[in-house]
Amino acid sequence: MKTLLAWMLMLALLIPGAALAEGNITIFTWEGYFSDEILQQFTDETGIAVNFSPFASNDEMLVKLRAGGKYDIVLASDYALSILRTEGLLTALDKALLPNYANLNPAYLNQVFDPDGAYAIPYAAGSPMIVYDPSKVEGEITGFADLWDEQFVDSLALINDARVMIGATLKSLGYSYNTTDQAQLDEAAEKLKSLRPNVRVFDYDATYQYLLSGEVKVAYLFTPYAAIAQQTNPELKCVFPAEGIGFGIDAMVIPASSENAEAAHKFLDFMMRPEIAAQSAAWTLYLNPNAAADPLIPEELKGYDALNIPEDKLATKEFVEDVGEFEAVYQDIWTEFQMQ
Amino acid sequence: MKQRKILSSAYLVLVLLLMYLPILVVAVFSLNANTSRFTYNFTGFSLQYYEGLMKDTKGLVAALLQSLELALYSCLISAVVGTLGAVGMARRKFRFSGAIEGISMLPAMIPEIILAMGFLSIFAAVGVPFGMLTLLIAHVTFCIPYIFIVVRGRLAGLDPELPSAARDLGASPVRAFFDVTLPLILPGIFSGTLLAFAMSMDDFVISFFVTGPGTTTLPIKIYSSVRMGVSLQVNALSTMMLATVFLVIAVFRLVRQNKQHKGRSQT
Repeated sequence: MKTLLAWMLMLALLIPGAALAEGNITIFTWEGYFSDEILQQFTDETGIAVNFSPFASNDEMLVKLRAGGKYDIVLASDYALSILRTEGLLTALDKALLPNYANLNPAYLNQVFDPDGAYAIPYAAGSPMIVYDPSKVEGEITGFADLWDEQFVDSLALINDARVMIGATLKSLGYSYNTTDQAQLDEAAEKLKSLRPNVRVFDYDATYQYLLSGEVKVAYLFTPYAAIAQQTNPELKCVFPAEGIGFGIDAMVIPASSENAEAAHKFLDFMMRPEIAAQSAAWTLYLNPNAAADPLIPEELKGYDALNIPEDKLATKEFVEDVGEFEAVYQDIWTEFQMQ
Repeated sequence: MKQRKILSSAYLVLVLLLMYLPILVVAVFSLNANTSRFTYNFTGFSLQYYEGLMKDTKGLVAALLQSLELALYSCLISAVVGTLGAVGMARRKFRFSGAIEGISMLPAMIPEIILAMGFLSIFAAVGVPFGMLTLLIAHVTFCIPYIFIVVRGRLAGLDPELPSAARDLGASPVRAFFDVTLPLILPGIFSGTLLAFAMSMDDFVISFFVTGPGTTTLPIKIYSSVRMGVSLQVNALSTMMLATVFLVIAVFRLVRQNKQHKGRSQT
């Protein structure tokens, strides 16, 4: 019995403590969203070790931060950061520690999720778009409204996300992505219903695979997936919907729970260096929000339609915003549409 | 008669195919020469993902080690707790023993997400730092019922007079437990622990909510990399894990067969 106790004690001692040295920062984001090489370079230069904690979705991140999770950098999507901001879970940036802030493209700053630009450093931006195989489609697709065409019966792949898809439908009716007008939402739900016979696939991250395999003729894709689709099959055409585009920015923030805000600022400033930002853009395949990095972006990337939003389209951009209790209405419409 | 034979073997082949085809696909794609992060078309054979795994360029091996460490500790602790519980409950009936037995099964019955949210709020309220310790507490909680159930089953088929006989012959209660009861229920403890080990290894939901900075188990690592493309190193790792399991089982069976042979030839 005594030996058993001794064994247990020994085992307990073997469990490593969670104590972290002072020169560490902990990053909370999707696995692989930062390139390992960039993180390594940061550690080599500053001596600050990067501790990585992955999450699978924005909602999981929110739960962890509300429960008091301690992280130094969080990289997440605009609407989720907006929720953190309004709940007081963020630390305001000290711009004096961020000389590279001037490199950022003003078009991506002070957006709805961070109106005063006090908290967030944009990392990657994107806009969902229509990608199709012209050899299988009669005529040209210019907007979201074209997807209702009879030639697309059972041949569309949509993003499995209520807000993105209902937003696009609302936009095609001339309304806002974030409407809280029940009549407009009812109209959008009705319109979506008539699209159902055309939909073959709902997926979130792998939607482009169905387009590449030829299983669907048209897919609605997020920026990096559209770029990959075009990279794999240069014949594919990318279209920013004529009705106006949805838009999203993933940005880095310092949570209020950070115990090493100084090192976190160093990290943010490092990430805003033009050469590092260009490297990041090539890694993520999203739009680059760093103006100083634009000339350094590899030529190859500039060739993808997904990474070249025309100025006039960019002007129509609309973010998915927190709609409070109406979120449930959107989710219900979407669930009903899928089950139909 | 013959037709029936064909039908049953066709059925067998179909079931085996359904069970093993996905595993086969995983193994084949681990040898893919395609280097793209996002597309997985098979372009040729290469060992690149195994090489990457050896150098652990994606941190998968580190995550696996953390998963193994967690599973090992939670199994050891819950094996002790679960066995003591089962033995104690079998020994004497008291007023609420039925109710307590029911309650002790709960962690295995209620949806994981609910258990996860419960843990999250308790740990946050008490102020336990999230990390290996919180993971361990959570995993022990849902591992105990598996060991408890299996050991209870084993005990039910046991003659309750055996430990009493040992006591009659002068053994202390502790001695009677270690020399008589424990060896008899050991196979039950083993299979329960194995079951708990598997549960702990592939748990995602509870682990995600109670883990903290710096502790990443394999399921969390894989699930959160879906957005940026799951590396085929995951396939390579799975293939190696599968091969190890097959090997262990094969050796285990061989040893047992040998033993049986020897046993028979001696009699």
